[in-house]
Amino acid sequence: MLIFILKRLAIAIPTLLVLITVSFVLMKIAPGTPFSGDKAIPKEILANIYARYGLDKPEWQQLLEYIWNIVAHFDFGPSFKYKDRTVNEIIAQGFPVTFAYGTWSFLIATIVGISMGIIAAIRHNTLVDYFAVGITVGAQVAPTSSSRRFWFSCSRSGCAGFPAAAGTVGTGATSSCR
Amino acid sequence: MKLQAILTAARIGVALLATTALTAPVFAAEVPAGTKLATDQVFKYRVLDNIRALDPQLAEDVDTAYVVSQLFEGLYNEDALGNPVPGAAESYDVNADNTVYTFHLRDAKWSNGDPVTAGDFVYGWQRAVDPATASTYAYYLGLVNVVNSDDIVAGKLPVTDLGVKAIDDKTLEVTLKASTPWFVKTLAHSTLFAAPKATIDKFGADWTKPENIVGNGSYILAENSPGERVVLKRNPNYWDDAKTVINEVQFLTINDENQGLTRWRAGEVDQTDVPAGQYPALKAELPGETYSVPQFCTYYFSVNMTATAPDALKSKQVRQALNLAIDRDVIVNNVLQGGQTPAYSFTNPHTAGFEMPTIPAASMSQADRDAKAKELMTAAGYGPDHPLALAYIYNTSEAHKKIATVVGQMWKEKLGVDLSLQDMEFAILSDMRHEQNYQLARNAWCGDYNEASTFLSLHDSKSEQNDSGWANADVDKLLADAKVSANPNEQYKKVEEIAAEEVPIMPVYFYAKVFMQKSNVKGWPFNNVEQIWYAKDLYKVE
Repeated sequence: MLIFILKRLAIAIPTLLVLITVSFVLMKIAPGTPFSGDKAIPKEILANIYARYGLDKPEWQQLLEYIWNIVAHFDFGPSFKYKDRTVNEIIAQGFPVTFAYGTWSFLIATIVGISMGIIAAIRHNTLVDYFAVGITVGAQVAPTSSSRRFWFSCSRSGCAGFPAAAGTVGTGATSSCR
Repeated sequence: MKLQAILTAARIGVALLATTALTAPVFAAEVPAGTKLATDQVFKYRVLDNIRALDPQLAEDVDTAYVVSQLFEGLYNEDALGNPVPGAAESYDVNADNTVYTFHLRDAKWSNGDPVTAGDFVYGWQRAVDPATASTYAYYLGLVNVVNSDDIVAGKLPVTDLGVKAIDDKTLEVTLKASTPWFVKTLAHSTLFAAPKATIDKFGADWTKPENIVGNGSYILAENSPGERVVLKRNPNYWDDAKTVINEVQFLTINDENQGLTRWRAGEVDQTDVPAGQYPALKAELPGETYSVPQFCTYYFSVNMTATAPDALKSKQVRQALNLAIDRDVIVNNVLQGGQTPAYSFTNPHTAGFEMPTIPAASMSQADRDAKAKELMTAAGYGPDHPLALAYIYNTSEAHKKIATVVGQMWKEKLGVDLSLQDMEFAILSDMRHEQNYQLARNAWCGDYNEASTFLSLHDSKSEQNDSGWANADVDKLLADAKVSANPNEQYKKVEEIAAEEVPIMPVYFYAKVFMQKSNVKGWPFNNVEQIWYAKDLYKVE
């Protein structure tokens, strides 16, 4: 079992490195800059912004430094969008909320799911079985929008200790004249 | 004897100064006697997920600027009509040719109790143009003519060469490279706020965290959770705190307009935008809480005026015909329905001191415009036998798509023009416009300060924002003359008239901001076209 886990972890590392490289290349190919706004930025200012974020260096160097900082320091660098925050800070803000939701969902799904399964197996082909399977399948197919509404109202009224207002970090819409 | 000579010289100097010591009353929450104030003085404002950096020199989005304007204060603020009113400065003097401004600061404190000094403004302004700060708005100082700012941004001069210096702790002298009679109107922009040097030196990039930040505004930062909320509390050290009524300001991130409306109805926010197309219905349902006010922006089509444009667009007659055939009334009354007004010229009509030019097309009936358009098109050699095909690019949005479709239809029916539409990400549109890699493109401009040059300088052939690539020597000269003119409206009118004749842009409409606001919120500056507001001026009634 331990060897299996270690193997999976060993495969995960190069996979992540490949993913980082691929997304880095995709970002570079995409037109526009992370700093494009309503108003065109004069080229001198754009050069200053690029220098501040190290984007004036050769691209291979940017990629290597990015990966090295993650591997050696677990540092994902500055955020291009929230200019007074680092990516680590943004993760630190959202992670506890995601972790809480994830943990609760996992516990509820496992406990309720396994219990229902056991009950359904013991009382095979009875009303209890149909009921248990019905609920499980119903929960599977229920649209997330409606279940989300339920859990959201639940979390806002404070039941079950859910933190209110889960990270709504979203599309980063725009300012006035777009 | 020597002293006598100096004193005489000083007296002559003072006499030469066109002293403009403003004595206007300071704007604050003006609560009429007998008003029953609500016990709950918390103002809740909806924002998009774009509160990016609570640093006056790095703020760029409108919503971020709103937060920063509560935390910090410039030399002058704006009142409910958009006029400058004393902020950190009490008064100013200016020399005869409007190139040297001397500001006299009031006795004010930072939120940590330190005095606000002229040196704090020098530091803030130097910081804005310092290449190491990499502020997107670094060009703002050049825009308002502060000496050497462009060369400092380009790394050619040290920041200490910037045209701003502290004569003493309470006197700030600003030197401008050209006559700028409207300079005081530019000071409410956060780029020109003071910055607390000691705090920034101590905490570096972390200085804007709630536990570190120091400001000179009417509020201090209590919480900052990007993507969720920003909470501000009153700053007891603010010089006018005694007149402040709102105790807490909450900026709540709600990206979706319809969700914003639902939460407004539930009383969770005091103000929210009206979702597209819902203004008439909401106005009928809640007339006392639905507002449409002029906004300092113009919507227009950019025309590629460079060598890369198709031959048809190089014809002035074709450009004029296309421009005339756009029925603006249909767009504002039937498509947008939010109180927008038709535009036939570029500068926003609500610009302070601006006199609207006489554009012939503006006073014609649409039938006459259409007839003229057909005539011009035929004269240019296009018609049913020789149809014209053009391409229009815009950034993805329902409203932009509707306008593009409607205009395409108008051109097709009236002029037989086939308009192909292509939508794209805003960043891509912005780049393509900038490189004149288009035929016709959606565009919009919001003024940075309340004076006509904030719009018309876009027609300058050297302007970074001149997306049309239009170069007209007369226009360049008029704009240069306007800078030193006693009445720049003369030059501005001529620029508008030349632009209406040459059609490098086709103005479509002047923006309106449509929003819902709870009836118990008072003091909102509805007539400030730049939508600059300060929570210190608001109050809530029972």
